[in-house]
Amino acid sequence: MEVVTTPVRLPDDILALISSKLPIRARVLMIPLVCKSWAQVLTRRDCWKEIDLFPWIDSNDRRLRHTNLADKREKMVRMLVPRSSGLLHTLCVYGLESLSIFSLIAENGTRLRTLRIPESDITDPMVQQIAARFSMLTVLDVSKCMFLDAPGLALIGNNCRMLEELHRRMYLHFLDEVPPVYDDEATAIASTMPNLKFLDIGGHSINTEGVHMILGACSKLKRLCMWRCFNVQAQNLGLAKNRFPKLTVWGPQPTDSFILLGYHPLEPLLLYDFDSKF
Amino acid sequence: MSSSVEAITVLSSDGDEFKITVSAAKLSKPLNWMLEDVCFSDDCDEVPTIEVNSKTLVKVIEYCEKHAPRANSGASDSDAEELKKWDIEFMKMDVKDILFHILMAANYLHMEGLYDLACQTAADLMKGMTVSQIRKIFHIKNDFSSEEQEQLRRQHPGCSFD
Repeated sequence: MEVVTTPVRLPDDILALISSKLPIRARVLMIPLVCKSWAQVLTRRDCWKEIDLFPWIDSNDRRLRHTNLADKREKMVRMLVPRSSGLLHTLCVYGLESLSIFSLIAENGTRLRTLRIPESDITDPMVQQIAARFSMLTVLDVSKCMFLDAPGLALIGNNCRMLEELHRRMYLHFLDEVPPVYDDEATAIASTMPNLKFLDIGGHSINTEGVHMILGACSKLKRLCMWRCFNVQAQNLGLAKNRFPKLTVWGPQPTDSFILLGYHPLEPLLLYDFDSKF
Repeated sequence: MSSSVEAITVLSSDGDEFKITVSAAKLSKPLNWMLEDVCFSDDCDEVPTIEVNSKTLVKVIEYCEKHAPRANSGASDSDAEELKKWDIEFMKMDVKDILFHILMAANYLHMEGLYDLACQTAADLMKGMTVSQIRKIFHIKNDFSSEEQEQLRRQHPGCSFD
Protein backbone atom coordinates (compact mmCIF):
# COMPACT_ATOMS: atom_id res chain seq x y z
CA MET A 1 0.00 0.00 0.00
CA GLU A 2 1.29 3.40 -0.81
CA VAL A 3 0.34 6.66 0.72
CA VAL A 4 0.48 9.37 -1.91
CA THR A 5 0.30 13.11 -1.53
CA THR A 6 -3.08 13.58 -3.16
CA PRO A 7 -5.67 11.66 -1.15
CA VAL A 8 -7.08 8.55 -2.76
CA ARG A 9 -10.31 6.84 -1.78
CA LEU A 10 -10.62 5.90 1.90
CA PRO A 11 -10.53 2.12 2.30
CA ASP A 12 -13.91 0.65 3.29
CA ASP A 13 -12.73 -0.57 6.69
CA ILE A 14 -11.61 2.89 7.70
CA LEU A 15 -14.79 4.48 6.44
CA ALA A 16 -16.90 1.91 8.26
CA LEU A 17 -15.15 2.67 11.55
CA ILE A 18 -15.49 6.43 11.06
CA SER A 19 -19.18 6.02 10.23
CA SER A 20 -19.79 3.93 13.32
CA LYS A 21 -18.46 6.83 15.38
CA LEU A 22 -20.77 9.38 13.76
CA PRO A 23 -24.11 10.32 15.31
CA ILE A 24 -26.85 8.16 13.89
CA ARG A 25 -28.50 11.11 12.16
CA ALA A 26 -25.40 11.76 10.05
CA ARG A 27 -25.06 8.05 9.35
CA VAL A 28 -28.60 7.93 7.99
CA LEU A 29 -29.04 11.30 6.31
CA MET A 30 -25.58 12.39 5.16
CA ILE A 31 -23.04 9.66 4.52
CA PRO A 32 -25.17 7.72 1.99
CA LEU A 33 -25.58 10.93 -0.03
CA VAL A 34 -21.85 11.64 -0.38
CA CYS A 35 -21.14 9.16 -3.17
CA LYS A 36 -22.01 5.65 -4.30
CA SER A 37 -19.10 3.91 -2.62
CA TRP A 38 -19.84 5.54 0.73
CA ALA A 39 -23.49 4.54 0.42
CA GLN A 40 -22.27 1.00 -0.24
CA VAL A 41 -20.12 0.94 2.91
CA LEU A 42 -23.14 1.95 4.97
CA THR A 43 -24.84 -1.33 4.04
CA ARG A 44 -22.27 -3.18 6.14
CA ARG A 45 -23.76 -4.40 9.38
CA ASP A 46 -20.77 -3.35 11.48
CA CYS A 47 -21.72 0.29 10.85
CA TRP A 48 -24.88 -0.24 12.88
CA LYS A 49 -23.71 -1.83 16.11
CA GLU A 50 -24.56 1.29 18.03
CA ILE A 51 -27.93 2.95 17.50
CA ASP A 52 -28.35 5.88 19.85
CA LEU A 53 -31.44 7.81 18.82
CA PHE A 54 -31.53 10.13 21.87
CA PRO A 55 -29.76 13.11 20.24
CA TRP A 56 -31.82 12.81 17.08
CA ILE A 57 -35.09 12.64 18.96
CA ASP A 58 -34.04 15.49 21.26
CA SER A 59 -33.07 17.77 18.37
CA ASN A 60 -35.70 20.17 17.00
CA ASP A 61 -37.00 21.19 20.43
CA ARG A 62 -37.40 17.54 21.40
CA ARG A 63 -40.41 17.42 19.14
CA LEU A 64 -40.00 13.73 18.36
CA ARG A 65 -40.10 12.86 22.04
CA HIS A 66 -43.78 13.62 22.37
CA THR A 67 -45.89 10.64 23.45
CA ASN A 68 -48.09 10.98 20.35
CA LEU A 69 -45.17 10.29 18.05
CA ALA A 70 -44.38 6.75 19.17
CA ASP A 71 -45.14 5.45 15.68
CA LYS A 72 -42.45 7.73 14.20
CA ARG A 73 -39.89 6.55 16.74
CA GLU A 74 -40.85 2.95 16.05
CA LYS A 75 -40.47 3.56 12.33
CA MET A 76 -36.90 4.69 12.97
CA VAL A 77 -36.19 1.58 15.02
CA ARG A 78 -37.78 -0.67 12.37
CA MET A 79 -35.62 0.89 9.70
CA LEU A 80 -32.31 0.83 11.59
CA VAL A 81 -32.21 -2.17 13.92
CA PRO A 82 -32.37 -4.84 11.16
CA ARG A 83 -29.32 -3.22 9.50
CA SER A 84 -27.18 -4.51 12.36
CA SER A 85 -28.39 -8.06 11.62
CA GLY A 86 -27.58 -9.43 15.01
CA LEU A 87 -24.51 -7.32 15.81
CA LEU A 88 -26.53 -4.73 17.75
CA HIS A 89 -24.55 -3.65 20.80
CA THR A 90 -26.27 -0.46 21.97
CA LEU A 91 -29.81 0.78 21.43
CA CYS A 92 -31.16 4.01 22.91
CA VAL A 93 -34.64 5.28 22.06
CA TYR A 94 -37.48 6.91 23.96
CA GLY A 95 -41.05 5.77 24.24
CA LEU A 96 -41.74 2.57 22.30
CA GLU A 97 -45.19 1.08 22.52
CA SER A 98 -45.94 -2.01 20.48
CA LEU A 99 -45.12 -5.62 21.20
CA SER A 100 -43.91 -6.07 17.62
CA ILE A 101 -41.18 -3.48 18.12
CA PHE A 102 -39.93 -5.13 21.31
CA SER A 103 -39.93 -8.49 19.50
CA LEU A 104 -37.90 -6.97 16.68
CA ILE A 105 -35.33 -5.68 19.16
CA ALA A 106 -35.23 -9.07 20.86
CA GLU A 107 -34.66 -10.85 17.54
CA ASN A 108 -31.70 -8.62 16.76
CA GLY A 109 -30.55 -8.12 20.31
CA THR A 110 -28.81 -11.29 21.40
CA ARG A 111 -25.53 -9.35 21.66
CA LEU A 112 -27.10 -6.26 23.14
CA ARG A 113 -25.09 -4.78 26.01
CA THR A 114 -26.83 -1.45 26.49
CA LEU A 115 -30.59 -1.05 26.13
CA ARG A 116 -32.18 2.29 26.99
CA ILE A 117 -35.92 2.47 26.40
CA PRO A 118 -37.20 5.06 28.91
CA GLU A 119 -40.83 6.21 28.70
CA SER A 120 -41.82 3.00 26.92
CA ASP A 121 -45.06 1.13 27.38
CA ILE A 122 -43.43 -2.23 27.94
CA THR A 123 -45.52 -4.53 30.16
CA ASP A 124 -44.70 -7.54 32.30
CA PRO A 125 -46.15 -10.07 29.77
CA MET A 126 -44.02 -8.47 27.02
CA VAL A 127 -40.95 -8.80 29.24
CA GLN A 128 -41.82 -12.44 29.74
CA GLN A 129 -41.77 -13.02 25.99
CA ILE A 130 -38.46 -11.34 25.26
CA ALA A 131 -36.28 -11.24 28.39
CA ALA A 132 -34.53 -14.53 27.64
CA ARG A 133 -32.93 -12.97 24.53
CA PHE A 134 -31.07 -10.34 26.53
CA SER A 135 -28.64 -12.49 28.46
CA MET A 136 -25.66 -10.24 27.58
CA LEU A 137 -27.25 -7.03 28.82
CA THR A 138 -25.16 -4.96 31.24
CA VAL A 139 -26.92 -1.58 31.09
CA LEU A 140 -30.71 -1.23 31.13
CA ASP A 141 -32.79 1.93 31.29
CA VAL A 142 -36.50 1.36 31.94
CA SER A 143 -37.12 4.75 33.53
CA LYS A 144 -40.71 5.95 33.45
CA CYS A 145 -41.95 2.70 31.93
CA MET A 146 -45.20 3.00 33.85
CA PHE A 147 -46.62 -0.37 32.82
CA LEU A 148 -43.62 -2.29 33.99
CA ASP A 149 -44.03 -3.75 37.44
CA ALA A 150 -42.10 -5.67 40.04
CA PRO A 151 -42.68 -9.11 38.38
CA GLY A 152 -41.31 -7.69 35.11
CA LEU A 153 -38.22 -6.36 36.87
CA ALA A 154 -37.70 -9.74 38.53
CA LEU A 155 -37.95 -11.43 35.11
CA ILE A 156 -35.31 -9.04 33.80
CA GLY A 157 -33.08 -9.75 36.79
CA ASN A 158 -33.44 -13.50 36.40
CA ASN A 159 -32.64 -13.44 32.68
CA CYS A 160 -29.99 -10.73 32.52
CA ARG A 161 -27.46 -12.11 34.93
CA MET A 162 -24.75 -9.70 33.85
CA LEU A 163 -26.77 -6.56 34.57
CA GLU A 164 -24.57 -3.93 36.21
CA GLU A 165 -26.47 -0.73 35.66
CA LEU A 166 -30.20 -0.19 36.12
CA HIS A 167 -32.03 3.06 35.55
CA ARG A 168 -35.49 3.07 37.01
CA ARG A 169 -36.23 6.77 37.38
CA MET A 170 -39.84 7.77 37.77
CA TYR A 171 -41.77 10.96 37.09
CA LEU A 172 -40.84 13.49 39.71
CA HIS A 173 -43.09 14.50 42.54
CA PHE A 174 -43.53 18.01 43.81
CA LEU A 175 -41.68 18.86 46.99
CA ASP A 176 -44.84 19.03 49.12
CA GLU A 177 -46.33 15.85 47.76
CA VAL A 178 -45.52 12.57 49.50
CA PRO A 179 -46.06 9.67 47.10
CA PRO A 180 -47.55 6.35 48.20
CA VAL A 181 -44.96 3.81 49.30
CA TYR A 182 -44.27 1.16 46.72
CA ASP A 183 -41.63 -1.36 47.65
CA ASP A 184 -42.25 -4.44 45.48
CA GLU A 185 -39.68 -3.25 42.99
CA ALA A 186 -37.05 -2.96 45.71
CA THR A 187 -37.67 -6.61 46.55
CA ALA A 188 -37.38 -7.57 42.89
CA ILE A 189 -34.11 -5.67 42.48
CA ALA A 190 -32.64 -6.97 45.73
CA SER A 191 -33.51 -10.59 45.04
CA THR A 192 -32.60 -10.86 41.34
CA MET A 193 -29.87 -8.30 40.57
CA PRO A 194 -26.92 -9.03 42.85
CA ASN A 195 -24.31 -7.71 40.40
CA LEU A 196 -25.57 -4.13 40.17
CA LYS A 197 -22.89 -1.46 40.35
CA PHE A 198 -25.02 1.55 39.50
CA LEU A 199 -28.65 2.02 40.39
CA ASP A 200 -30.65 5.12 39.55
CA ILE A 201 -34.10 5.31 41.12
CA GLY A 202 -34.68 9.09 41.06
CA GLY A 203 -38.28 10.00 41.86
CA HIS A 204 -39.19 6.42 42.78
CA SER A 205 -41.71 5.91 45.58
CA ILE A 206 -39.46 3.33 47.20
CA ASN A 207 -38.98 3.76 50.98
CA THR A 208 -36.14 3.44 53.49
CA GLU A 209 -36.79 -0.29 54.02
CA GLY A 210 -36.54 -0.93 50.28
CA VAL A 211 -33.25 0.89 49.91
CA HIS A 212 -31.96 -1.01 52.94
CA MET A 213 -32.88 -4.28 51.28
CA ILE A 214 -31.08 -3.29 48.05
CA LEU A 215 -27.94 -2.16 49.88
CA GLY A 216 -27.86 -5.45 51.75
CA ALA A 217 -28.26 -7.59 48.63
CA CYS A 218 -26.24 -5.71 46.01
CA SER A 219 -22.80 -5.80 47.57
CA LYS A 220 -21.04 -4.51 44.43
CA LEU A 221 -23.07 -1.29 44.31
CA LYS A 222 -20.84 1.75 43.80
CA ARG A 223 -23.30 4.46 42.86
CA LEU A 224 -26.85 4.91 44.06
CA CYS A 225 -28.94 7.81 42.87
CA MET A 226 -32.21 8.42 44.70
CA TRP A 227 -32.90 12.01 43.84
CA ARG A 228 -36.33 13.05 45.09
CA CYS A 229 -37.15 9.68 46.60
CA PHE A 230 -39.17 11.43 49.28
CA ASN A 231 -40.11 8.24 51.12
CA VAL A 232 -36.49 7.55 51.94
CA GLN A 233 -34.99 8.84 55.19
CA ALA A 234 -31.33 8.89 54.29
CA GLN A 235 -30.25 9.36 57.90
CA ASN A 236 -31.74 5.95 58.74
CA LEU A 237 -29.69 4.08 56.15
CA GLY A 238 -26.53 3.86 58.22
CA LEU A 239 -24.54 5.50 55.47
CA ALA A 240 -22.79 7.82 57.92
CA LYS A 241 -21.37 4.87 59.85
CA ASN A 242 -19.33 3.94 56.82
CA ARG A 243 -20.98 0.58 56.40
CA PHE A 244 -20.65 0.91 52.63
CA PRO A 245 -17.22 2.45 52.08
CA LYS A 246 -17.24 2.06 48.28
CA LEU A 247 -20.69 3.52 47.79
CA THR A 248 -21.52 7.03 46.58
CA VAL A 249 -25.09 8.14 47.19
CA TRP A 250 -26.97 11.04 45.63
CA GLY A 251 -30.24 12.35 47.00
CA PRO A 252 -32.92 12.32 48.15
CA GLN A 253 -32.35 16.09 48.28
CA PRO A 254 -31.61 17.83 44.96
CA THR A 255 -28.06 19.07 44.34
CA ASP A 256 -26.27 20.58 41.39
CA SER A 257 -24.50 17.41 40.34
CA PHE A 258 -27.55 15.85 38.73
CA ILE A 259 -26.87 17.13 35.28
CA LEU A 260 -23.55 15.32 35.52
CA LEU A 261 -25.44 12.13 36.24
CA GLY A 262 -27.26 12.43 32.96
CA TYR A 263 -30.36 14.16 34.20
CA HIS A 264 -31.57 16.42 31.47
CA PRO A 265 -31.66 20.10 32.52
CA LEU A 266 -35.33 20.08 31.56
CA GLU A 267 -36.09 17.02 33.67
CA PRO A 268 -38.70 18.62 35.98
CA LEU A 269 -40.69 19.64 32.90
CA LEU A 270 -41.44 15.99 32.31
CA LEU A 271 -44.42 16.42 34.57
CA TYR A 272 -45.96 17.81 31.41
CA ASP A 273 -45.30 14.53 29.62
CA PHE A 274 -46.90 12.78 32.54
CA ASP A 275 -50.08 14.80 32.00
CA SER A 276 -50.21 14.05 28.33
CA LYS A 277 -49.85 10.36 28.96
CA PHE A 278 -52.70 9.93 31.41
CA MET B 1 23.43 -7.42 16.53
CA SER B 2 22.54 -7.81 20.19
CA SER B 3 19.20 -7.07 21.79
CA SER B 4 20.66 -4.00 23.47
CA VAL B 5 19.68 -1.88 20.45
CA GLU B 6 17.86 1.23 21.63
CA ALA B 7 16.71 2.68 18.35
CA ILE B 8 16.31 1.58 14.78
CA THR B 9 16.56 3.61 11.63
CA VAL B 10 13.83 3.41 9.03
CA LEU B 11 13.23 5.10 5.72
CA SER B 12 10.01 6.88 4.82
CA SER B 13 8.40 6.34 1.43
CA ASP B 14 10.09 9.50 0.17
CA GLY B 15 13.50 8.35 1.30
CA ASP B 16 14.15 10.31 4.50
CA GLU B 17 15.74 8.58 7.48
CA PHE B 18 13.95 8.39 10.82
CA LYS B 19 14.93 6.96 14.19
CA ILE B 20 12.41 5.06 16.29
CA THR B 21 13.21 3.83 19.79
CA VAL B 22 12.64 0.14 20.37
CA SER B 23 9.97 0.67 23.00
CA ALA B 24 8.04 3.00 20.68
CA ALA B 25 8.25 0.58 17.75
CA LYS B 26 6.52 -2.04 19.90
CA LEU B 27 3.25 -0.13 19.45
CA SER B 28 3.03 -1.37 15.88
CA LYS B 29 3.18 -5.01 14.85
CA PRO B 30 4.82 -4.42 11.46
CA LEU B 31 7.40 -2.11 13.04
CA ASN B 32 8.06 -4.69 15.69
CA TRP B 33 8.68 -7.34 13.03
CA MET B 34 11.13 -5.02 11.30
CA LEU B 35 12.83 -4.48 14.61
CA GLU B 36 13.25 -8.20 15.13
CA ASP B 37 14.61 -8.56 11.62
CA VAL B 38 17.16 -5.85 12.29
CA CYS B 39 18.13 -7.28 15.67
CA PHE B 40 18.49 -10.89 14.68
CA SER B 41 19.71 -10.87 11.11
CA ASP B 42 23.43 -10.86 10.35
CA ASP B 43 23.39 -8.34 7.55
CA CYS B 44 21.89 -5.41 9.37
CA ASP B 45 23.15 -2.83 6.90
CA GLU B 46 19.86 -2.66 5.11
CA VAL B 47 17.56 0.11 6.34
CA PRO B 48 13.88 -0.94 6.20
CA THR B 49 11.45 1.27 4.33
CA ILE B 50 8.04 2.14 5.68
CA GLU B 51 5.47 3.01 3.06
CA VAL B 52 4.41 6.20 4.78
CA ASN B 53 5.49 9.65 3.67
CA SER B 54 7.86 11.75 5.77
CA LYS B 55 5.32 14.31 6.91
CA THR B 56 3.05 11.58 8.23
CA LEU B 57 5.81 9.44 9.66
CA VAL B 58 7.00 12.34 11.84
CA LYS B 59 3.56 12.45 13.43
CA VAL B 60 3.29 8.67 13.76
CA ILE B 61 6.66 8.47 15.49
CA GLU B 62 5.75 11.39 17.74
CA TYR B 63 2.63 9.49 18.77
CA CYS B 64 4.57 6.26 19.37
CA GLU B 65 7.22 7.94 21.51
CA LYS B 66 4.58 9.65 23.64
CA HIS B 67 2.51 6.52 24.17
CA ALA B 68 5.34 4.01 24.52
CA PRO B 69 6.13 4.47 28.24
CA ARG B 70 2.50 3.93 29.20
CA ALA B 71 1.92 1.01 26.85
CA ASN B 72 4.98 -0.79 28.17
CA SER B 73 4.55 -0.23 31.88
CA GLY B 74 0.89 0.55 32.50
CA ALA B 75 0.41 3.92 34.13
CA SER B 76 -1.82 5.61 36.67
CA ASP B 77 -5.15 7.30 35.99
CA SER B 78 -3.68 10.79 36.12
CA ASP B 79 -1.22 9.80 33.40
CA ALA B 80 -4.07 8.47 31.28
CA GLU B 81 -5.89 11.75 31.76
CA GLU B 82 -2.84 13.73 30.70
CA LEU B 83 -2.33 11.47 27.70
CA LYS B 84 -5.91 12.04 26.61
CA LYS B 85 -5.33 15.79 26.63
CA TRP B 86 -2.15 15.29 24.66
CA ASP B 87 -4.05 13.17 22.10
CA ILE B 88 -6.56 15.97 21.57
CA GLU B 89 -3.78 18.51 21.00
CA PHE B 90 -1.97 16.04 18.77
CA MET B 91 -5.03 15.63 16.56
CA LYS B 92 -5.53 19.35 15.95
CA MET B 93 -4.00 19.03 12.52
CA ASP B 94 -4.71 20.18 9.04
CA VAL B 95 -7.25 17.72 7.75
CA LYS B 96 -6.77 18.11 4.08
CA ASP B 97 -3.38 16.56 3.84
CA ILE B 98 -2.43 14.96 7.11
CA LEU B 99 -5.43 13.33 8.83
CA PHE B 100 -6.16 11.25 5.78
CA HIS B 101 -2.59 9.94 5.73
CA ILE B 102 -2.57 9.34 9.48
CA LEU B 103 -5.67 7.17 9.02
CA MET B 104 -4.02 5.17 6.28
CA ALA B 105 -0.74 4.85 8.15
CA ALA B 106 -2.34 3.78 11.44
CA ASN B 107 -4.33 1.17 9.57
CA TYR B 108 -1.26 -0.04 7.68
CA LEU B 109 0.93 -0.15 10.79
CA HIS B 110 -1.76 -1.88 12.90
CA MET B 111 -1.70 0.81 15.55
CA GLU B 112 -5.02 0.39 17.27
CA GLY B 113 -4.81 3.42 19.54
CA LEU B 114 -3.86 5.87 16.83
CA TYR B 115 -6.30 4.32 14.35
CA ASP B 116 -9.18 4.72 16.76
CA LEU B 117 -8.11 8.25 17.66
CA ALA B 118 -7.83 9.28 14.01
CA CYS B 119 -11.23 7.79 13.15
CA GLN B 120 -12.78 9.61 16.11
CA THR B 121 -11.17 12.85 14.96
CA ALA B 122 -12.49 12.37 11.44
CA ALA B 123 -15.97 11.61 12.78
CA ASP B 124 -15.93 14.68 15.05
CA LEU B 125 -14.88 16.76 12.11
CA MET B 126 -17.62 15.45 9.84
CA LYS B 127 -20.36 15.89 12.45
CA GLY B 128 -21.05 19.52 11.70
CA MET B 129 -20.57 19.35 7.94
CA THR B 130 -22.89 19.29 4.99
CA VAL B 131 -22.66 16.61 2.33
CA SER B 132 -20.85 18.89 -0.08
CA GLN B 133 -18.33 19.97 2.60
CA ILE B 134 -17.53 16.31 3.27
CA ARG B 135 -17.00 15.72 -0.43
CA LYS B 136 -14.64 18.66 -0.52
CA ILE B 137 -12.34 17.65 2.32
CA PHE B 138 -12.09 14.04 1.19
CA HIS B 139 -11.75 15.01 -2.47
CA ILE B 140 -14.76 12.95 -3.47
CA LYS B 141 -16.65 13.44 -6.70
CA ASN B 142 -20.41 13.33 -6.54
CA ASP B 143 -21.12 10.31 -8.72
CA PHE B 144 -24.90 10.39 -8.46
CA SER B 145 -26.70 11.53 -11.58
CA SER B 146 -29.24 14.31 -11.12
CA GLU B 147 -32.10 11.82 -11.47
CA GLU B 148 -30.57 9.53 -8.88
CA GLN B 149 -30.10 12.45 -6.57
CA GLU B 150 -33.70 13.51 -6.97
CA GLN B 151 -34.77 9.93 -6.34
CA LEU B 152 -32.60 9.70 -3.20
CA ARG B 153 -34.13 12.87 -1.90
CA ARG B 154 -37.62 11.56 -2.50
CA GLN B 155 -37.11 7.99 -1.37
CA HIS B 156 -34.70 8.43 1.48
CA PRO B 157 -36.61 6.91 4.34
CA GLY B 158 -34.83 9.03 6.93
CA CYS B 159 -35.74 12.37 5.42
CA SER B 160 -39.34 12.04 6.48
CA PHE B 161 -38.26 12.12 10.12
CA ASP B 162 -37.26 15.75 10.07
